[in-house]
Amino acid sequence: MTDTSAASSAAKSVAKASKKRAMLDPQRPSWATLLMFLLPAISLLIVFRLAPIAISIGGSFSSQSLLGETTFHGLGNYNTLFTDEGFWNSVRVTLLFNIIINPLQIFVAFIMALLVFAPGRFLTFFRVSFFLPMTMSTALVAVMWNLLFDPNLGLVNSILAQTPLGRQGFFFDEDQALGAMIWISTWKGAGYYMIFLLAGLFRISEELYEAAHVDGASPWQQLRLITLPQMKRTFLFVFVADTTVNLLFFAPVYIITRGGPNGSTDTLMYRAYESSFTFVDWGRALSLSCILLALVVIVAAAQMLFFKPGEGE
Amino acid sequence: MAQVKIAQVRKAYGTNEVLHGVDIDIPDGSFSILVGPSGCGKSTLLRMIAGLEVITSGEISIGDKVVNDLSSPKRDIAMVFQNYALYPHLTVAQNMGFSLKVAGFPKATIAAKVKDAAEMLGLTEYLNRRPQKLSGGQRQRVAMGRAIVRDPSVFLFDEPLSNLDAKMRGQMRTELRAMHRRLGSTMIYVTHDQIEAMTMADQIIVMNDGYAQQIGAPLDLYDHPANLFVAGFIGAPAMNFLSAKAGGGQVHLADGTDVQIQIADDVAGDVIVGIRPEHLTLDPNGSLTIIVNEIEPTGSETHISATTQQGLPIKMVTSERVTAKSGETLIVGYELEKLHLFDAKSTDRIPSFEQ
Amino acid sequence: MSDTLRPGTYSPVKHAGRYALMCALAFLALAPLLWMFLSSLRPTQEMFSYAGSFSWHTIWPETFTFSNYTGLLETGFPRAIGNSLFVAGVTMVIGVLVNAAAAFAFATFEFRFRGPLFLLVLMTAMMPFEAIVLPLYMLVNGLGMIDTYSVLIVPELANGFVILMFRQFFAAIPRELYEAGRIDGASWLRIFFFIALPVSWPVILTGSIMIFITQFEAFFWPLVAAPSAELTVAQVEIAKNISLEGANWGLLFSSMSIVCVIAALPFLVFQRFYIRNVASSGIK
Repeated sequence: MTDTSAASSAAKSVAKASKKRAMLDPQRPSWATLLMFLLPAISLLIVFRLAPIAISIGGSFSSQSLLGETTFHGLGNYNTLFTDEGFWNSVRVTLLFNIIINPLQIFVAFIMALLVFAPGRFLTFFRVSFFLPMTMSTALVAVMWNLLFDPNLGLVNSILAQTPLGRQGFFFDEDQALGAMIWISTWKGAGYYMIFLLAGLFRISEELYEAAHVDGASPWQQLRLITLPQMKRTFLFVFVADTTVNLLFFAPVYIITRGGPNGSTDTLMYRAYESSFTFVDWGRALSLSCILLALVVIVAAAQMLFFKPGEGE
Repeated sequence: MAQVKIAQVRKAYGTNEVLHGVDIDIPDGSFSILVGPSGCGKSTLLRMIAGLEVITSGEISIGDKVVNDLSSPKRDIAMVFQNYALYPHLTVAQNMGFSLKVAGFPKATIAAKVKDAAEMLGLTEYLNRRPQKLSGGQRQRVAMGRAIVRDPSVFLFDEPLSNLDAKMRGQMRTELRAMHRRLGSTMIYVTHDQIEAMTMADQIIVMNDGYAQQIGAPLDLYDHPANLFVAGFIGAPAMNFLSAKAGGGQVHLADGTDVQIQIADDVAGDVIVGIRPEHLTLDPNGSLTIIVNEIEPTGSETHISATTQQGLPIKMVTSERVTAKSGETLIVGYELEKLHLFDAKSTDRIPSFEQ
Repeated sequence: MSDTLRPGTYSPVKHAGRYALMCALAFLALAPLLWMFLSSLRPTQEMFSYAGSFSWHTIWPETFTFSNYTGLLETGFPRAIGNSLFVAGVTMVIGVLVNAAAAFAFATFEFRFRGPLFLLVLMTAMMPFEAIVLPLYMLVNGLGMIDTYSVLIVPELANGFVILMFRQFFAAIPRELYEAGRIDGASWLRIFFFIALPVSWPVILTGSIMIFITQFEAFFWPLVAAPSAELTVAQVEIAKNISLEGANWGLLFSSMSIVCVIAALPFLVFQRFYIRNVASSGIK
């Protein structure tokens, strides 16, 4: 700017009119308009999503008497938790469940995505078939597989009875119950994650494959050198989404095993539920809730950490 | 109908000023075109007239009213967007009638106005179609129809023809002129295409770097460009610039030849001589020797790319057929009164040159 | 990928292997559903007669009957499914509006605190609802909302993921469309309802399905927040019945079949839009 006096007088007139301008600026609607659009959603999110987190943290440091009186309890709830054998069993169950199910589910989902991605016939049928279990609620999946795995009357056992394996206990067998949980979750979930992976596959430019093909790369090399690196972001997203859901695994445990047999399916979420509604120990329930929240946050933060902008895409 | 006055208008995004105090008078009923390279501020200025951007300082008035603090609908303007901005879910008729519906006009009035505009634009048979089912030219007409039904004082056009193919663009230029004659409204039109500006405008505003470089009738800009930028921007192929030195009322080209023109005695130092390619002639008695690089015959005329003896590029357009080959030399001349002289430092036209 | 195979890359063995694997996976996915549906058409007395040893009739009923479906009329199931549909329907209609409006503001306006507020939306989109069920229960309990329809509907209206999805779509609409609306004299509310929303019907469809299904399939929240019999939703009702001694399998099969069909229908009818919109909003 060369003309400083004009510039300063311009700045003054801007300052004078700024309040009025704010209402006229097409990008800045009036406060009334803005509130009309934003207030409902934002206030609902604050009250029903943000406030519970605060309650959870606050509640985990206090204890409630049966009369509903709340007193500050410091780390007391956590101390009790950490000395509780059952808590550590739940941690073990939850982690074991996640370590197995997340890679497994995503692996199956990726196989499915690759199968229905390559050109071929009847692919819509296969895509819909793989996707269909996902439309069923977790609760109904649990009910259905509980019937299918019934030791005496279930279809699976009437088939197994014909084989050398014989009938299995499944949810009634301490060594099999968690595996059966993993099976039914994968049955429901793999098709869901297949959709995200399939979208990721479609996003990779066909020309990359053509170039690799002309350069003599085998299908396996194309998968390793093009598909997997290009899918990094998609895998990360799916992995985080899958993990946050599975850390909070609850409905099938509640419906089928109630944590049993012998604590073998006693996930942290089920333990938190039991603490609050069976034992009415809200201090313990909320500290468990906080631990679960922290786990979810760690997983989500790990995503941010791994994801370096500009990479992959 | 109304004239538009733009007085000391500035626009800044944060500390980044993109318009540095622009003054423009747009007479009532004129077809005025803002032209300039991308990023010169022409679209920003148009959007400020439309009420889509806040005016940082200065004043814009339409008719007798300062509109700085009026919202778009109160400014009595209509705008045609580059990508037409037709509502995809509405039919042609609903698109054209949308503003009237918003304003609460009775259905019969809306229908009548839409019908009139559609007849004028030849859209009558498409009134019940959706925009997706129309060609680019038809969409363009619908966008215009949407503006016409409002009967605004001022029409604003933001590069409306840039998405059309060359043939359609030529046709729409003629139609826009005809529409302007018929409606007689003030029209302000933004384009980066100087041919569009030259062929359509009553008044051209050449913009660059956030300044209005020159305002005037198309041929005025062609004949008397105010500075190097306008000289180079208006006219195709662009004007040739030859460096020269001035002093003692004389101009010497870098190749040693004198330019036989009179200038004021006080002009001294580096100057630039401008000569349009079409004003160079093949003349055995001419004073310039050029070396041919490429000959491009277009049929009606021949374009010659060449270099001067100093190795500077120079272009020439002639209606004669030239058979010279690459590397051959040509002797060319020019008429003195078609020369332009600019100060090399300030880039302004040297006014004393005109006699 | 294009539909043409590249010359010299076709291998019949690989092709057969691929289709065998796809058929196996499809069988695993579909067989349980088929078994459930076929069993719902089996008379009660036949239900377990073939369970002991496997035969053709372990899968295919000997006689077909609708008695399991008509029998549902005398149970709490009609009321439960009515509750489910009501809760999911109301949440869907209000929820789409609430979330779309917020998304429109994020996509179109510049305002103070836009960054932090958007972070809040992102955060809630990433956080599974189950993580806050227990503290949320305490909250609504304090508000005296337990055992009402509101407790099932209101906390689920705002949905971060749906807001993100809408925002992405609104941001992709050419700005000129809104500007044309402004110049045509339309208020922001009018632009939202008469320009932005009509143009966005694929996302509205996807968002509606998403909210409807989330609500229709909810289990944990209705289980704890609305325990009374009048407010029991279908998912909880079915889960309750299985834990009863000597549960009636026929009624379980028929009620599950109904619930599954209701949940699967929107996906099957609109799978193209749904898959495209959900998948693209997840990764970007």
